[in-house]
Amino acid sequence: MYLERAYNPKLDHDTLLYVRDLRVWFPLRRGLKELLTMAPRKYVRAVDDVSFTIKEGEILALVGESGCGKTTTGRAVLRLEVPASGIVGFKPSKSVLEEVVEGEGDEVLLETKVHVNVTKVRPSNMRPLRREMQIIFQDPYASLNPRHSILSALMEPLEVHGIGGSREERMEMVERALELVKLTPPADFMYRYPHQLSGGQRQRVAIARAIILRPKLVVADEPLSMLDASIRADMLKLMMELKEELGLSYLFITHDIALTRYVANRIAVMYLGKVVELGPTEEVIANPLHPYTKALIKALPEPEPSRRRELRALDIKGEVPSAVNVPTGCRFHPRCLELERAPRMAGMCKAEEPPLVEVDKDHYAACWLYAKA
Amino acid sequence: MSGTKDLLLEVGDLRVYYFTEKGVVKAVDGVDLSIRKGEILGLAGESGSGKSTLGYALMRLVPHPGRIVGGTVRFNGEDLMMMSEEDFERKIRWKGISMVFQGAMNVLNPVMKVGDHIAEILRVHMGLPKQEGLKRARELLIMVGLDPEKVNSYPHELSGGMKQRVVIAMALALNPPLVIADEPTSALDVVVQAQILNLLKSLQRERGISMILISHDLSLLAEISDSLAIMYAGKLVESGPSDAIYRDPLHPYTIGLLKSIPRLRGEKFELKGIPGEPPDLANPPPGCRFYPRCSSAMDVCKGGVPPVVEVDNERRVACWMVAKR
Repeated sequence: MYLERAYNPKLDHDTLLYVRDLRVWFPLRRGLKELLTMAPRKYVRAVDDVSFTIKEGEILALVGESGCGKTTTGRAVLRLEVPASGIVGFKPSKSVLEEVVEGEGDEVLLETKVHVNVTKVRPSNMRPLRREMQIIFQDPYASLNPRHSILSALMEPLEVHGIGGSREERMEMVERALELVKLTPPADFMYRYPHQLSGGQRQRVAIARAIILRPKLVVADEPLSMLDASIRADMLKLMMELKEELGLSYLFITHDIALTRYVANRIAVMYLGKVVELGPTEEVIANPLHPYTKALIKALPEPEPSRRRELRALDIKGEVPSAVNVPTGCRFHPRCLELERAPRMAGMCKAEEPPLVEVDKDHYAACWLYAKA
Repeated sequence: MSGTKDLLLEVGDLRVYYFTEKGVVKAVDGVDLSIRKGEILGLAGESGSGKSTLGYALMRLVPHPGRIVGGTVRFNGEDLMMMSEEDFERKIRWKGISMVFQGAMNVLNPVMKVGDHIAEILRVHMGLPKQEGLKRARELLIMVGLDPEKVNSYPHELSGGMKQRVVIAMALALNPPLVIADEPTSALDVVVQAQILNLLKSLQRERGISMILISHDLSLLAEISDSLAIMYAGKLVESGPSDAIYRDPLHPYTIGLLKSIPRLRGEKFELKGIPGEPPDLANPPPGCRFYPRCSSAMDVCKGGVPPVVEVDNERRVACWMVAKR
């Protein structure tokens, strides 16, 4: 009954990224006692059967608190983490597709024949794909090598991927990339070192580095959170312009649900390794379904000084459990106030994991409140 | 609302400079502030605006090579800057004014139990024996919403939110009338952040504690503060009651900041940033320090430092546009 409405990521020709049942578990070391008693190995279940898709030109925001697995999901999409299971389908350009098939054969393709299952590609054959799947990291102070000038930081990806016939041609590409991120005139910035730039300028260099290979998908992992508020808005604007100009799609990872409203077409809310809600941004914000999403939205500071003396009621209790000992059934149940209000649900919530089901059009939630027949 | 007799802290023309090899960095350059009893003041500003340095200066803990070079700080009528270090340590620091340092929750001693952290403060400042200190530590933990049994926990056994509560309990240990909290929630998730804000609000309500909250996040400050002070490049550009500033900001920097905050509720306006970057405080622009980034800059802004103008009902703005009105 409910299974008919269960979320089923669609693999169409205009799907750029197709993630299905992605699982990244990090094994823990066993102690002496566990070795002696032959106890089963424990895992940090960072990403636990996550599914979503991104269409060409779309921006999907992955939202959640620290430790919910959003960054690991982004990294696993790029094969920076090795997934335990699941499919990551990516639609590269024709030339890259040919290169991948040449190295790997047809087996790495999904049934559309235009999507590569990234999890199946051998690491040595990932390079052509990496050209089209790039990442922007959170911390512009850590993501640039302090001993490399901006020029060499931007030349490196071109050299690694063998793009541009001559040094002059590559120089032109670097100049163009700097112009695109509005570090103009490029000659003023190329020969500087990261410590000579402000945080905002560094993040622009990091963006230039991500786009210089003309990717199709960019994973942006909290690209604004280290920047001052007055600089964030311009950085966001730049990212949106680049998306239009270069035909990018973003997987935008953020903890700031208010920000998603200005960025994303759709959002996926993660809790403890699972997507608990997925839907169009405005719809999820205006009409959140999952008790966790509701609590998250309610917890945001409300800049309304006239109500400053009131305590804010929080629709959530306790703290995030460890991803090693994930609660049984719905993993949110120990913190859920809905369950407290309706204890008769306990049989379901504590026993069985709720599926992600369609509640309204294109709006999915994983909660037994909605999954019942 | 009330006269000067309710004033707890009055800062006048405070200047704190760092004497570095590259020159003198004027991190706090002529700041005036006042806080009434039981009031929460939100001090907002970007990184490098001098807001943390101002907090350190009130504790007289400005790190080397910084020095308080001038100004007055009156606390309960006493001038703190004239006090000897011995008197300040004995009477004011931690007992009169305490501080929750930025990131303090991450520097709790990993081999010391929570209770011992608090008991140590009581031993050093009040000579309280350890057993009594631990008893008081339990009371303090209850006050900040923690299980008193956590006195026996080590920091690594606690979550980020719990550690932040412990650090707040430490700041409250000697019942100070004024607590300075530097970015008390910036490393925490939204739900935990809301819990900590609730805690701070109830400390204000139930115990009448005054607070200076230092944060880069204006929407967070607007949620909790009675009054706001906006700092830019070492100077206060605007201060006053928070509802007035929030509803009708006057300084172009405040206006810009408010336009750059993403909002979850209400109509969706386009986010606007402020062009450029904050100036180098070793070599600030002459005249108004915000002038190079200001969209309403006039000729006069380039030449002269804008005077601080009292607008109405305790609102003060340092901007030529307002001064010329």
